Amino acid sequence: MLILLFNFIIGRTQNAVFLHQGTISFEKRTNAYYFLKDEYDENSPFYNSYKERYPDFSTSTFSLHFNKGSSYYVPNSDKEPGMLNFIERVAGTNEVFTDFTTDSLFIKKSILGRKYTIAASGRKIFWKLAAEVRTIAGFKCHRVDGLILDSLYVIAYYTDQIPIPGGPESFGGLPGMILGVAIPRLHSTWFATQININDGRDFAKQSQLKTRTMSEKSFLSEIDQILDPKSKAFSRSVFQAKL
Amino acid sequence: MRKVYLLISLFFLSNVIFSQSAHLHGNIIEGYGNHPVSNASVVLVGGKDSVILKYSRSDTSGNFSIPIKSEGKYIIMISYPSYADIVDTFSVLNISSGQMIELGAYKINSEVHILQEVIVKQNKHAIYIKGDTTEFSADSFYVKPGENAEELLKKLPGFKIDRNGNVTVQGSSVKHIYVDGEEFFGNEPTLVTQNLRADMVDKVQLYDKKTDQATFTGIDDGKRQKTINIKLKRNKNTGLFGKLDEGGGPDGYYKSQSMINFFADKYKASAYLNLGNTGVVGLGSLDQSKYGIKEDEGVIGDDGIYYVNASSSDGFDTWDGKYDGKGRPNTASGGLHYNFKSSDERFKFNGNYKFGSLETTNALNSIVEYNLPKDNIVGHSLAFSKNKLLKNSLAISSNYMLDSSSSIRINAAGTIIDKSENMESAGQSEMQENHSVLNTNLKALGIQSNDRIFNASQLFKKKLSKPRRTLSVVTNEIIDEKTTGGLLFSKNTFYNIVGGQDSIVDIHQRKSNKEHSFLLNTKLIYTEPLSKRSTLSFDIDLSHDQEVSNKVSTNLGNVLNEIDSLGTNRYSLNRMIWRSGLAYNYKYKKLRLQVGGDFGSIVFKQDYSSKLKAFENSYARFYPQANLAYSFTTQENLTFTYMGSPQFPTLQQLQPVTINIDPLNVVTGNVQLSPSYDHSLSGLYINYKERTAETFFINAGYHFVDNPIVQASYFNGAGVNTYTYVNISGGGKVKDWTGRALYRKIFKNTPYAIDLNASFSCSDLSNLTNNRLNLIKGQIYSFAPSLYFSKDKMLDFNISPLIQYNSFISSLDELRPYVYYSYSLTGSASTDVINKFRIQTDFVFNLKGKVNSFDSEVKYTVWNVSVRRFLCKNSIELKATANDILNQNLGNERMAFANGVSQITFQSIKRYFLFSLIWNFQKQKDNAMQK
Repeated sequence: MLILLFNFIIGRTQNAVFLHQGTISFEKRTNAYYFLKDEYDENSPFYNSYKERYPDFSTSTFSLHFNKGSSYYVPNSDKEPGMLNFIERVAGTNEVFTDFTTDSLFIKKSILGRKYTIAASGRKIFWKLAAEVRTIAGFKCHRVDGLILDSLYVIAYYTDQIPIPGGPESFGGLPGMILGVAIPRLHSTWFATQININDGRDFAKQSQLKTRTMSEKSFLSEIDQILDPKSKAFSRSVFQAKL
Repeated sequence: MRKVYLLISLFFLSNVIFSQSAHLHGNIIEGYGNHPVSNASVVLVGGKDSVILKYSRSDTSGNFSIPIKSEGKYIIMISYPSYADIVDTFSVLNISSGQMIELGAYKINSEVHILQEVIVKQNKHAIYIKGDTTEFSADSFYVKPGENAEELLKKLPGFKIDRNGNVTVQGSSVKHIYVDGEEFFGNEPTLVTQNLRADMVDKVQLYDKKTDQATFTGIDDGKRQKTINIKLKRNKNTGLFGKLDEGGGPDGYYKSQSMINFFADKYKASAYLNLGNTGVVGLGSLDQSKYGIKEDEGVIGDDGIYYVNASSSDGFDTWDGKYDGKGRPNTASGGLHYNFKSSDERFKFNGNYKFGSLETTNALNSIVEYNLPKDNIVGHSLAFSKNKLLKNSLAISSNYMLDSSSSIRINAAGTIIDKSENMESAGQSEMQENHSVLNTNLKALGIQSNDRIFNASQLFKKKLSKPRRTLSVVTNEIIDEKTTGGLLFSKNTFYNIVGGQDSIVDIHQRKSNKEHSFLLNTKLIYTEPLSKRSTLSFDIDLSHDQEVSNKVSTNLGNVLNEIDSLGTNRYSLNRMIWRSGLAYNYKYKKLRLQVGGDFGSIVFKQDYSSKLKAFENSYARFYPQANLAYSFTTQENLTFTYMGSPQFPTLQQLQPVTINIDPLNVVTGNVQLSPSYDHSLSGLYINYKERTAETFFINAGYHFVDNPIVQASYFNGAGVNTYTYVNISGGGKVKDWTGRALYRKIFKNTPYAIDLNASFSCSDLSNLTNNRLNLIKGQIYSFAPSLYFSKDKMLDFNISPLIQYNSFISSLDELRPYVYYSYSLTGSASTDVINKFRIQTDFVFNLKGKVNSFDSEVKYTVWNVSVRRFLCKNSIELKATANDILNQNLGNERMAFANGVSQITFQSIKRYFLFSLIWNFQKQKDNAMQK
């Protein structure tokens, strides 16, 4: 196993390394202070005690295993003790199996403690290419801006160096692997921290996600029932749930 | 710049004319050496909206092909690792199928770039849950105009507020309500909820407050207290506001509540004055804990060993100084509150002065049934009492952060309590079988006491270089001086078996007691992280306490005023407690485990000069504890706890003096008592299903005592009970089982909600009666469903029946089990649809079955109605209240105790009418500035 921390190109262009299989470590960061600051006064005991105890970002990590035909996105089990997991209570620990050949997804979500396994097809997002380029985990990435779920603004960064239309969560459909996602509304970002080349073992079989699935349509309608009181409560959670 | 250059240089490819389903073709070469580039990314983008339409890769010879469907403006972007992107714009004017659009060759060259981050916006929600905090947006819940914060809390799901303003959430009672994160008049929720207007509230935050220790060390001890923080609206959290509520009615009933507040950014100041005789207001300050400082604040109080003197009775005074609904009260209470914080929030100060006066008069009728080996004794008595209390307390708390890692907190409180009790009673005891009279008695008692208490605590906390490596040191001091004095007159006539007069005993004594107690305690806790998941904490706890009690009983009536030697004693109790131990905390994913134990050594020295004897015992004891918690999800948790701890006999149980305040129940302490040992085991399961708005709550506990301290009674032939305390082992059992299950469901999108509440409590008690072991089995089972209906602007309604099975069986008298059912029905409704009048009504129906000596059913209904009208933009309110319209309210209490059962019937507040004028005033800074 080789750890690629920097993009290395030996001599000529033809030798640029393209990855067709491997594992990407994603770090999902949510700015908890913003969450709290928007909702709480700075005098509130919860805000203060949270600030005292926890860093401004709530962090969790995920692994995205991928090969040419499919990918499997799964939360890492190792977690810092004592962290509040309020961000995770709605779809914070999704597992996603993506089959690129059939453009189908199997998503396992935990919404307020209940588990759902959903069979969906690849999401059609109109990504707009932006002028920005940045390096993530040593890979040059292009920025694209998109709108999902009718109104949720998403920024994604994909790299040409991994010619696979995948990404964290159920994001994908770009010319290369997505290594960074930011959703301002949810105060959350997903960025690749490290990319491992591995032997491309058949992780698809590890995933049991294909069994006992419900359709995306019925999932979405259930979510609307569960999380959508008239009062606009949960508006963020609804997005989180549907991501 | 290079991009722009490339863009222009390649522009010659534009304006190609083609038709449907065509393909774009091109070739990519490396600009330096003109090699073909494979695997370069080619992205086709819409020229107007920059949306990515198609993408592809170049093949080994650098060629690419992309299908294209329609005419229009396009952009093509070509990129390759470490090379600059090429962006080219072109238009397709016509498309014919199968056509090839040749874009030609693209040369790629090297690169670099930088960027920026993302910014954030937020929406408001009605209910939002973050970790252990649930937040309710006040504006999302309809509260009738002019109502106070209490009405708002009633609307929030899961909240319950009883008639006296006590708040219960999800089954557990709320002890603290903060305003904007600051404590407000100590533990008096009603001062907040009844004085703040609902329309001032921005948000209500409900959370489980961890102990300060857990917050500081980062080690979760699993101890929680439901806490509410009321956040005021931004334009309402500074300025002057308050409330005047003046009411009076026929028969001398009155109620007055006034409060004024001035809130500024850095400080808050408030004052209140409550007067009344309706038993509803102004009682909070009297119910405070004796020491004025909350026990859960510091490190103190995790084990309860410090509260040696917490019982406010010294044996001579019998009234605890609280109004618990018995008798007719007359109250006056008031206070001043000030809190301040520096602009950097490093320094915080909170001060409260409070006074409270309470006068109660009462007439009590009691029946007591004592279980004896052969026959039971039944005592009837009638008593009149008049009690007075005056309490003044001043408490300050200040917190200073020395730097980001260390802080000091100093608390201090002084309290003076003056109490007087006067009681006259007449009674008679008889055998239960043949009703033969054993004795009759008359008694008059007058006792005054003065209690001065000072206590202080200092807490130093420091976070060391590593997370969870912390050091904290706390010291506590308590000084309590109490003087009690009074007179006891009692005439007791005893009869022989055939009913003839046997003897007369007159007691005519002066009583005095001086009690002095002192406690000094220091505790040090050091925590060290062992790994990511586990932490070890080490603690040392030293405490010394000394209690001196000097009781004197003087026989009056003869010339000599001689000392009654049995009722006179000077006694001192000295205890040195040393304990130290380790606790291991493990937290991984959903599991939290805490296991620990302290070893302790207790030196127990008693000195009672009247017998010229002093003796010292020392005990080695173990204090184990274990806590296991598993969180299935954030809302579904299971917890088990075990704790073992020694329990020390109290001064009243030890002091070898005879107390004859009740001449028929004479108690003498026993210096030979040894500590008992308590084991308690409990489990708790909570599952809150947010999706379906359902709550499940189950808890169960088992508690038993080794070597328990119990009463040893001896009833003589004349029915006089002489008792002391002894340790019993072997057959004697002291244990209890309790459990409770709650199910709650709110039916979404309907106005309905239900509660199902079931509980049981089983206990085994033991005592010695006339040298025979008496085992008492008590069982209480209850079931109470509730239905709620709430339709905004129309009707709020709830009804809740309760059925309860009560059983007490004494092994001395198994043939006469004490078994009965009790029932109650409570309900309330409120509406304001009738012509601008707001009408509220509530009722409670109570029924207790008859059993044994309690030979009549206790049955009554209390029905209250109030009508209100709001004027002047809801700032003025007129209110008419009718309390207990049916005039049936009946004070009745049944209790089981060590060797019998009792029922007391007492005076209570019955029907009254009150007419009130309430004025709410507000002068907010922001509003003033706008003008």
